[in-house]
Amino acid sequence: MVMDTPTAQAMVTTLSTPQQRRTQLPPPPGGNGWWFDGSSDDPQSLAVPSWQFGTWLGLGTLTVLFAALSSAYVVRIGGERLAFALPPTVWLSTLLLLANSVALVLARRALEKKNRHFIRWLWASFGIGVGFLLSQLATWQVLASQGLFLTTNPHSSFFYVLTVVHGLHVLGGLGALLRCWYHLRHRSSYQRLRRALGMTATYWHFVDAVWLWIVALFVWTSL
Amino acid sequence: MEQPIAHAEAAVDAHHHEPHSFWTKYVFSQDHKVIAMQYMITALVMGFIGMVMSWIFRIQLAWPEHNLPFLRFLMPTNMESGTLQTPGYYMLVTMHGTIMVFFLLTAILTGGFGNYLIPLQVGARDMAFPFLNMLSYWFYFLSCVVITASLFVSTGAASAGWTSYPPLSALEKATPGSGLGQDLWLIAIALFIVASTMGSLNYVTTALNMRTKGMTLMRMPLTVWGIIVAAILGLFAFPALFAGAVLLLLDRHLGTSFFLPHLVVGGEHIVRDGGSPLLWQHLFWFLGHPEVYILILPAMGITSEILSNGARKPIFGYKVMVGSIIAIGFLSFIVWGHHMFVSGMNPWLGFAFVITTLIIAVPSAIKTFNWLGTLWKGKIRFTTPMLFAIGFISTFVTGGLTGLFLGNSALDIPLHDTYFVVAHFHVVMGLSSVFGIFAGIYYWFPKMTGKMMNERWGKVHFWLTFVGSYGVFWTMHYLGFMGMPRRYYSYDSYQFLPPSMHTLQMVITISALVVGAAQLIFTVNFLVAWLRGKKAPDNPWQATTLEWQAPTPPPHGNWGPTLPQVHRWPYDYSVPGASADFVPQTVPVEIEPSGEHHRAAVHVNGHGYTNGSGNGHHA
Repeated sequence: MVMDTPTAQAMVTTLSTPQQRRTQLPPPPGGNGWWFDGSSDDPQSLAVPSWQFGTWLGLGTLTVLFAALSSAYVVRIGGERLAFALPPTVWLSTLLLLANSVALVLARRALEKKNRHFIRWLWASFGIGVGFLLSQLATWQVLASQGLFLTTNPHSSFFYVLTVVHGLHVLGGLGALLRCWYHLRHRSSYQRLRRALGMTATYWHFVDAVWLWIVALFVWTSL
Repeated sequence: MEQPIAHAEAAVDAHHHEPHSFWTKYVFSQDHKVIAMQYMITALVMGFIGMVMSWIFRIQLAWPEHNLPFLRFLMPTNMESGTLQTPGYYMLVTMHGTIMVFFLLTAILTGGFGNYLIPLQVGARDMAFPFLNMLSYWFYFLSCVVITASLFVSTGAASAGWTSYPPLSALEKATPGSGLGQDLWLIAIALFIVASTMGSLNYVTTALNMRTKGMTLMRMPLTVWGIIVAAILGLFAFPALFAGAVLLLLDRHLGTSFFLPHLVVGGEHIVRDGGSPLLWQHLFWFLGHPEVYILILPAMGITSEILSNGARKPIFGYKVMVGSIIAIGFLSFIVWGHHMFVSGMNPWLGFAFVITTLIIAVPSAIKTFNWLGTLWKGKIRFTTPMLFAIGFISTFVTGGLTGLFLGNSALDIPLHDTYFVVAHFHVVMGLSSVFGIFAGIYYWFPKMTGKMMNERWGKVHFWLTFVGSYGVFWTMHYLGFMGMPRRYYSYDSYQFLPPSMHTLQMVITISALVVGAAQLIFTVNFLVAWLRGKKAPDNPWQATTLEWQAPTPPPHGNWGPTLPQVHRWPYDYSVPGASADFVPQTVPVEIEPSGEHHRAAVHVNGHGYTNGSGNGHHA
C-alpha cells in the first residue's frame, strides 16, 4: 500500500489554517540543547568542535587497545614477578616524552598568541619524538644483549609487544607533526593550523600518558 | 565560537565542491549517501556468498551419504567425489559465520544505514569527517577482498570456527585451513576493525555535533540512537579483538606463547609453554558479546521507526526506549563470560555473569512491550517494511526467550555446543537483524534510489523468509534439546542420535533452501526496481522524520541552500486536531491548528492516546 500524499500538502494545509488561537511557547528551559527540548534557536551541538570530539573518541578506542594488551599481560603472567631489570634507557625515554608534552603545550600557547616561536616548539617536539624512538631502539638492544627476545618469557613477550605497538603510535605522532608543518608551509588558514596542532597535541599527550602507563605496569610487576 | 564557522564552512563546501568526475562521484566519493550505497551493495554481495555457503553445508547435513555432483559447480575443491569433504565443511561453517556477522550484518547496519540515515535524519549536510568516511569504506572493501581471496588459497580458508579459538587457529598443522587461510582471516578482521572504527568515529561525532537547529538529542529518531550506541560499542569493543588478532599472529609466526600452552600434537611436543587459550576467549568475547548488540541495536532503531510509521501512532515510551538502548549498550560490556560457562571458570564468576546476562532481559522486555504498545489500536498499514518490522518483534522475542535459558549457567552447561545454541543466536542475532535490515531496505529504498520496490513480491519475500526461517530454527531448537551436537559434519554413525533426527535435519535443509529462494526473489525485486521501478514520491510512507523532507534522491549537500529547522519530536503521528495523520518535524509548533500547546498534546499521546480523534485526512 503506497500513499501518494506529499509532505508539501500537509505543510500547506497546516500553514493555511487560521491562527486565531495561537498560543505562545513558554520560554525554553535553558541549556545548549544538549539534552532537553527547548532552545531550538541554537544549532544543536556539543560544547566542543567536531575535530576535538572525534579525536577524544579515537583516543578512547586506542585506550581500549592498550587496556586489552595490558590486561592480557596481567592475566598471562598470573602474578609471576618480572624476570629482568628494566634497562636504564627506559627512564631516558620517559623523560623525553614528558619533555615532548611540555614542548607541545608551549607550541600551542605560542600559536594562540600568534607567536612565531611556535615553529621552534613544533620542531623541538619532533626532535624529542625521534630521540624517544632512538632511546627505544637502545632499550631493545640492551634487552637483546641480555638474551631477552620476543619469545623468551611472557614478560619479555609483552614488553616487546607493548613497546612496539606504542612505538608505532609515536611514529603516527611524528606524522601528525609533519602535517602541522605542511599546513604552515602551504599557508593554510590560521583556523586550520590551530585545529591541526590541537589534534596533534592532544594525540601526543595521550601517547605520552600511555608510555607512563606501560612503565608503571612493568614497575608494578617487578615489585 | 567555532561551531557557526564550521557550519558555514560545511555549507560553502557543499555548494562549491560537488564532485563531477566519475571517480570522485561514484568511486572515491566522500558523500555519505554514495558511501552508504557502496557499503550496502558490498555487504549484500558478501551476504549472498555467506548464504550460498550455508546451502552447501546444509545439503551435506541433510544427505550426508549422498553424492551430489552438481555441487561441484559451487565448490570445485573439497567436493571431488560429489560429497563435501570434512575440511571443506569446517571451512564453510567458519566462513559463513565470519562473513555473516562482520561483513554482512555489521557492515550494512552501521556502514550502510548509519551512513545514509545519520546526516539525513539529524539535518546535516554530510558526515563530520568525510575523508575518513571514504577511507572507512575502502578499508572495508579491502577486508572483503582479503577474506574472499582466502577461499582460493591452496590450503583453503580458515576453518577454526568464526570464533577462531586457539590452539586450533594457532597451530599451522591443526587443520588444512590453519595455514595461509587463517592468516588472511586475521588480517581481514584487523582491516575490518580499522574500517569500522573510522566509520564509527564519524557516526557518533556527526549525530552528537552536527544536528540542525532544533534537533535536540531527545528529538532524534530512534534509528539514530540505535546506530550511535552501536557505534560506541564498536569503538570500545573492537580494539580487544584487534589486540587478540595481533597476539595470535605473533603466536602463529614468531614463536610466542600468548595463547599456546605446552601441547603434544601427533606425538610431537610443540616448543611453546604456558600460554592460555582462555585468554583468547576473553579477548574475543569482550568484542564478541557487544558485537551482537552492534547488530541488534540499529535493527531495533529501524524497527521502532517503521512500527510507529506503519501503525500511524507515536512510538510508545520514547524516552524509555532511548534509556533502554543505552542500558543494553552498557550491560553488553559486562556479560561476555556467559560464552565461557563451560571453560572451567570459577562458579562464582559464572554466577556474576549469569546475573548481568539476565538483567539484559529487563531493557529488552521494556522495548518489546513498547513496540506492542505502539501497535496497540494502531491503524496498521501492512506494507512490506511494516511486515518485516513486525517479524523483527517476533524473532526478537523468540530468540530472546531462549537467551534466558542459555544465560543461566545451570542450563547452559548441558545445552552448550548443541543445536539449541545455534538456533538461539541465529534467531535473536541473525534473523532479527536481517528482518531489521529488510524492513530498512524496503522503507528507505524509495529515498535512496527514487524508485519504489514491488510490494507484492516484497510480501512474498517476507512470508517465505518468515515461515521458512522458523522452519529452520524451531526444528533446530528441538534437535538441540534432544542433544544434537553442533559442529558435527556427519552424524550417521552415532547411536545416541535416532533416525528421526535425520529426518528433522532434512526439514531444516529444505526450509533453508526455501528461505534462500526467497532471497533470490528479493534480489530480483531490488535490481528491477532500481533499474526500472515505479518513480517514488518524496514521502511515500507519509513519514515525519527529516530525510523525507529532502528531495528524492537527496542531492549532494542534502538540503539545498538552507538547512531544515526542527520544531518537534519525530513521532507526531495522528496528532489530535492536525489536518493530516502525520506532522513532519519541520512544521512549527505555534501554528498547530488545534491551538493547543503541542508538547502538551504529545504528552497526552504518551499516556493512553486514543486513535483517530480529529484526523480529517486519510489516504
